[in-house]
Amino acid sequence: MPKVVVIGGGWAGCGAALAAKKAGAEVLILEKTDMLLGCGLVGGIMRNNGRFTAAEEAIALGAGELFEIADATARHRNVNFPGHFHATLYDVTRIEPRVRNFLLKLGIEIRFQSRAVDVKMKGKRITSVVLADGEEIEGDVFVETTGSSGPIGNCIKYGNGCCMCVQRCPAFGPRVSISKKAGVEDLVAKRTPELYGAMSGSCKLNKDSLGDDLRRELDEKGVVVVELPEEYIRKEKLSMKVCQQYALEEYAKSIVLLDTGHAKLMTPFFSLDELRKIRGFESARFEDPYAGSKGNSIRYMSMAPRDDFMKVEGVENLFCAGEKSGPIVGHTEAICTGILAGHNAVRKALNMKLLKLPRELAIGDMIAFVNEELKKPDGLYKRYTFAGALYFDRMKKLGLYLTEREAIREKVKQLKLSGIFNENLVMNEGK
Amino acid sequence: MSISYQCIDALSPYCPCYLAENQSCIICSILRGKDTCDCIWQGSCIYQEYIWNGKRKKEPRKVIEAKIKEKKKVTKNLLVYKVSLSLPLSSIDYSQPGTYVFLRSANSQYYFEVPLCVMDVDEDENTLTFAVQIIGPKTKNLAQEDNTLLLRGPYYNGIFGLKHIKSTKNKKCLLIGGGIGQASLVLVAKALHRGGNDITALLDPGAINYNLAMDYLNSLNAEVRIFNRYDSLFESLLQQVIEDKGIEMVYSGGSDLQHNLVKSAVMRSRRKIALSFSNNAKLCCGEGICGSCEVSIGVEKFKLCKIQTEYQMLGR
Repeated sequence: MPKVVVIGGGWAGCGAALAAKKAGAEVLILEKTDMLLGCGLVGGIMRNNGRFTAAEEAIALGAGELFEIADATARHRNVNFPGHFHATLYDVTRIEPRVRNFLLKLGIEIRFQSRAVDVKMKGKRITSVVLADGEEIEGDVFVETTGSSGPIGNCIKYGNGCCMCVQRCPAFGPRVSISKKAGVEDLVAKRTPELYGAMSGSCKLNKDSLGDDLRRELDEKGVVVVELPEEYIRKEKLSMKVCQQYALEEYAKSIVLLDTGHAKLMTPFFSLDELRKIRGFESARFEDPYAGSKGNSIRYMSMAPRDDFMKVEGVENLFCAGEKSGPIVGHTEAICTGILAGHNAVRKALNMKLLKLPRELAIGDMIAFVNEELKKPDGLYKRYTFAGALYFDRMKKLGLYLTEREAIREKVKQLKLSGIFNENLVMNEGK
Repeated sequence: MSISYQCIDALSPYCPCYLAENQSCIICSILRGKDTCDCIWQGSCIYQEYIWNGKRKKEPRKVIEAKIKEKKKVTKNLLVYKVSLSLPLSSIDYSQPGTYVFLRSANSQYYFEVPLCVMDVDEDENTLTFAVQIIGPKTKNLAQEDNTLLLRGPYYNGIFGLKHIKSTKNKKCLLIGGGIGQASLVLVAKALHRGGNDITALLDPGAINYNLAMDYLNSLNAEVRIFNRYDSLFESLLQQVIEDKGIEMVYSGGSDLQHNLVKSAVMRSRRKIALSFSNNAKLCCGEGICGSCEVSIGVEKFKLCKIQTEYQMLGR
């Protein structure tokens, strides 16, 4: 049985592990912290705008379980907020054990507090990854889903310093770029020619620290929009954001709160001093990042050049997904790239033809489109998401944005891809 | 990367150091002039420390005056100094195995500084003990001083494989000391004794014609045997002790010749034995600046006063 080692247990890594397991491989996830889901532990927004289409495509392709868990853990469904429609907000305080138990039940091995720091190579193949304590983990194919944020130095040089986000670099050690250790230079996103990376777009307040009325409204509707007094409007924050789908005027002029278990504040950071002057926020305190008055994590510092099969260019047996695979933003994007990377990892191990998703599907188009855009001179200045900004515009223009479940399923069926990720390739090998 | 290593001073009160200001930090890629992070993580972010410290190095080690409390000429080329430190409780900073300092006599120029390992520390008296083998102009100059020494330190990279000494608990350990190298055995033995280890020692009086570490080791209930490294039977003695005693950790304080004999004896045993060795590089500034201790491994250059690694990796 081929062994697939997934490095990084965020949404992308979980997607990759799920697909590789379904395809019949022995799967191990190496995660440097004590929990899965990475930034998904503080995110929570699914199915808004074009993400609905992508999630339904993944379900029709046969690897939709993670979306179904998110749906089942929803605090609010069909929520609209400025620029965004039909969002599902999952409960970040409850989802991790559900995903963990689901993956464990499938027979996926997960090793926590196991930080990969190097690789052993034979020619252009990785033979094993080396953990921080020197242990070597062998595998046939590797999937890197280590993300693109951290280490602390990057957050200091290109942001406002370490703000103690959920990734907890100081405690669990920083992310290491595995593709770089395998000899492939990282791509680094830019804001200006000198300024690298982009800042996470939202912070989270402890919901119990909000005023009773505010909290009640949030619990009820899932969304609260509070007008900001003129003196607290900081439009310059919009240009710093990763999440260009939330870089709209409304997000500068008002406080947009979403109920994801925490009160998600749709701005990268906010001076607590100023925030507490606003009604309902008098006792507010941050849940993530802990130093949310000051800044947020810097992302897109480490992306691997890859092809449309999600294989890293220049290494024979390394795949990538999520933020590692390009300037793509969001859980949905991470899961969708993850399942393709995990599936193709098994195909690679079995010497089968790799799968490319057709551009008739939003997932296939985005994977290919981002790659094309990255090769353009200003490619490193843009971010892509099904949920907004230029890629959602493209989806609408090309007719890729569908909101009817049946229509999406029918389309996948016509492309002869229904349930393709459900096929056990290892068992069917040679048939 | 050809070898794995850490910086002995990373996260110490002296970090970030001159090397950070010079864009030559051993650990942090950004402080080596790169655009992005690719660090050898040692548990905290040196770049963060550097920024918080106002983009400056921390206060470097100072030269302090140390009063000579005792001076003993033991043999014709061996002197033992006991010095007292003026700052209360400061001797505790010198008690880690592998600690060394630079010493010179009070009225001499800085280029007379001699790198010397701290042989012993008495925290109650706030004193340090050093042994000096008198060889050349620097040690001869030092030997003339009776009152005050100028001391720069502490520096910590006197031993490669330091982690084995710190982490070994309730095991059987073998210490091998040759000549003036015996001076480094004392703090090692004390640390291993604190860890509940069982200590056997092999001592060669060597060029100083004296077994400096003997009394210390006896007081720690170590079993001590004498050897002569030029004796052709030394290798078989070494192997026999390693096997008979079931040795699990070895420290060699002495010449590179001795180190290599120890290394091959351990390799022949085929058991997993932790190894540490005295750092015999020519130490001059101790700060990773001057280059006197530099070695090339492949295309990379390493300053042995700063990098903490396994001796075996250095291919010496």
